[in-house]
Amino acid sequence: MRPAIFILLFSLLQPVLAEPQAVPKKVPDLFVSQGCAACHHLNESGQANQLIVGPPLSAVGSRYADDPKGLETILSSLQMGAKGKWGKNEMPPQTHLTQEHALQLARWILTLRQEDKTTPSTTPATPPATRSARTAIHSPLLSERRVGTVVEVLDTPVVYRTYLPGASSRAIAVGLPQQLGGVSYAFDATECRLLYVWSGGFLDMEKSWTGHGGWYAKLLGAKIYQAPSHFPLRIGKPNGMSEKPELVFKGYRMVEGQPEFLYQVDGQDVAHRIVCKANPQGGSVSMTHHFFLPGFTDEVSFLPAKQHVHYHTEDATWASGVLLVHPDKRAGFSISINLKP
Amino acid sequence: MKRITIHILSFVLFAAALLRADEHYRVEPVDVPEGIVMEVSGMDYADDGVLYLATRRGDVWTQKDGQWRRFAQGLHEPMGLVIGNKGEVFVSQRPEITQLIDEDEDGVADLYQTITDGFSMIASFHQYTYGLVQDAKGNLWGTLSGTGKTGPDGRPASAKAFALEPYRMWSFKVSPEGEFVPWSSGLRTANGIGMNLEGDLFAADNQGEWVGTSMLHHLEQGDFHGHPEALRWDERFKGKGDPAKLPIEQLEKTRKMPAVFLPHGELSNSPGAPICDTTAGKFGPFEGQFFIGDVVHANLMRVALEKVNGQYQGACFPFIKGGSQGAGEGLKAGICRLVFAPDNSLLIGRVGEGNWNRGLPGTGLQRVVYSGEVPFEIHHIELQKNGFKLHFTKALDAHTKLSPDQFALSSYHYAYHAAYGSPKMELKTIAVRGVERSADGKSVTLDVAELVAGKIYQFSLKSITDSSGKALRNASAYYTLNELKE
Repeated sequence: MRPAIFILLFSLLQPVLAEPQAVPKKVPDLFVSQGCAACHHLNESGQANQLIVGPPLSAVGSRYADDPKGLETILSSLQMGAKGKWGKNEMPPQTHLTQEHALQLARWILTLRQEDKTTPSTTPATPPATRSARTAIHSPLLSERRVGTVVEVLDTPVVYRTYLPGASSRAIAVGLPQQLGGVSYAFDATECRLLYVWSGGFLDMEKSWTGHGGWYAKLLGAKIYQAPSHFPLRIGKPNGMSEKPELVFKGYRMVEGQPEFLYQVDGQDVAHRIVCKANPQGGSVSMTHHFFLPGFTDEVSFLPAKQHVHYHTEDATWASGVLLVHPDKRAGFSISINLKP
Repeated sequence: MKRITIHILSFVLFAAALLRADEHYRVEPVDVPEGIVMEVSGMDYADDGVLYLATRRGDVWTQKDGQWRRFAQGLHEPMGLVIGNKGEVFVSQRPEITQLIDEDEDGVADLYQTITDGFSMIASFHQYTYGLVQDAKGNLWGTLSGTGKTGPDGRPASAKAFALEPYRMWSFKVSPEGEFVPWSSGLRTANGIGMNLEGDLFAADNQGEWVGTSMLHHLEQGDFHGHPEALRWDERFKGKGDPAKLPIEQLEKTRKMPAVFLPHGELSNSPGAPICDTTAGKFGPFEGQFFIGDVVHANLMRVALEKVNGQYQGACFPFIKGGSQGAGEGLKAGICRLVFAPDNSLLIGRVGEGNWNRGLPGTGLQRVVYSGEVPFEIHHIELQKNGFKLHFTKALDAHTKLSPDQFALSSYHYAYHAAYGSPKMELKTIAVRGVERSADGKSVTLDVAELVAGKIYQFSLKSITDSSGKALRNASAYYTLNELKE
């Protein structure tokens, strides 16, 4: 069936292909009015960081400029849709285009070249779109430095919510200054727990900030710690260690510049402050989890990692493989680990 | 002496250039901090005159008397901000609706409090949480965009939008207690939300599949606005397979027509949030009407609604055309959020980059200032049993006889189908049989040959002047006729 349609289309087009036709002046307007601009730019220029659905039309024009079947190919793509010619994205058939508009557009696209500066009359002149994305900036109004899309931590902690690799979609990245160990960590707002720690730089936000945006930030540096994959607290349920408690994320509060995460565990409010500091001897960073359960008096335990991790605490003791919080510390206790960047 | 003459001459020319375009509305630049990418995605003023401004990059800024300060950082692509009735700062970011609280009153938020995250949110370039307005009862309102299929590298893998998780493509309410309530469905990607003087809610969906042209919807509980993907989460259709495969007749029957279609290409390709004119005449004679900006075109549109048979419908008009109209520097592309400033100027927030940049970059702020001189415009259009009554802001010139030729009228509709967008369907000229000017000269009733529900009536007025001989500031209008007058 498909080849038949193709041959029919091809034969219909023969007379059109025979003679080069002038492009009516209004045709470039179709680029906007018929919705092409929703997925295509005209030119490569000004879109170094722009991710778009389809190829720049000037690239399409250039590719098929000397192809005797160029017009037919473009027209076929417009009317029947296309996939695989320019990456993985599929162009659906543009059924709203009249035959005349489709032909006019196809002819016009063929006149475009990659260095072409023609813009539709409805389009304002295009200044460099992403200059801001590449320029190194330090605004005194920011407490971090943004060099293009790379975010650098200066002397105060930085908290960015974004998509992070290996996290649920509701993730929070925290970058700490040198005096607080200089590491970064990921906290998951769905699972209400620390996920991992990395050392080196903080984040490159390119895929979140430029192009279509809305994608994962890139961790700059190397992971130095992966937290156990379970939520570590169990409250009031001495026999329920295997059951995952019900968790509700409530936000975070900046305390002395660092976030204190707020959530509920089986209905009990928990404030969870993560404080890092570089050990004076150098070479390692201590990360302390301070848990506050105001007014809570029932049993509380902390489930450790299955792998070998050294926990430091004066507020709990080992019992049946868990750290059981001392009765007088249930409303507030701390557990530390050492990290080696 | 010669030099002085030249100076005077250049001053006169300069003054003439300033005044040349439009003595009613002037577009002015508004400075933003140097070195900051100000992709404006939410704006509101607090009672003390402080502007709160959210950006796509996750910052919330405050500004007063030209002084900028960062109020909050690191939000996940917020697309809405509202100052609540008690001065609270609410933002809608991708994962949640959040209240930003400055506990120690040092001008910087300390507490980022989750109000609700009761909706699905996955990694997709197109998972916007648009907002926000608050009603008198303290409910917050917003909309959730459809999901864009995203490839492993973050690139969009399809131009289609989906609602495979709840409650994508729905509008929502958040009660003062923080309960998330899905409200109405079928919004492909309605970038922002607005409330009129009566407290009714509106959002402008963006053209795409099932959305023939961009359109302003009135959001009432249980409404279905047209994109069938969203019906997956409607109790009536839940578990009944792919709603996009439902018979088109059934979808048409279920669908609530938009209050106003915003013609693609001419007025709007990607409308932002509608803002109701609450200035009581201090921004011109349009109190209670909506202004909407467009991200692609640098246009400002105006929408005047009426109720016919209990349903909102009405007309949209060009208000300030991008780049060309209005005194001053001309509107620039990227218009996403609007807010009336305490001085009754209209502040324009331009989002410009990211998904919002179709090769037409533009970020930052502009503002539109009203001179106080009433513009000669079509104020609103009122449907009649046999035609339309056009109400003007000023009396028409009483000395010239009006003829039907001066009121060119055509009708068309947009296709309701799965394809991306629609051309104007069944576009035809409608004969104007009679023209009657009211006694006060401020309105004209047109008797037209045909009125059909479901059509858009496009007006193009010619040689209409006010009593001072001045031409109409904008001579075109588009009336969406859903209900006929009984």
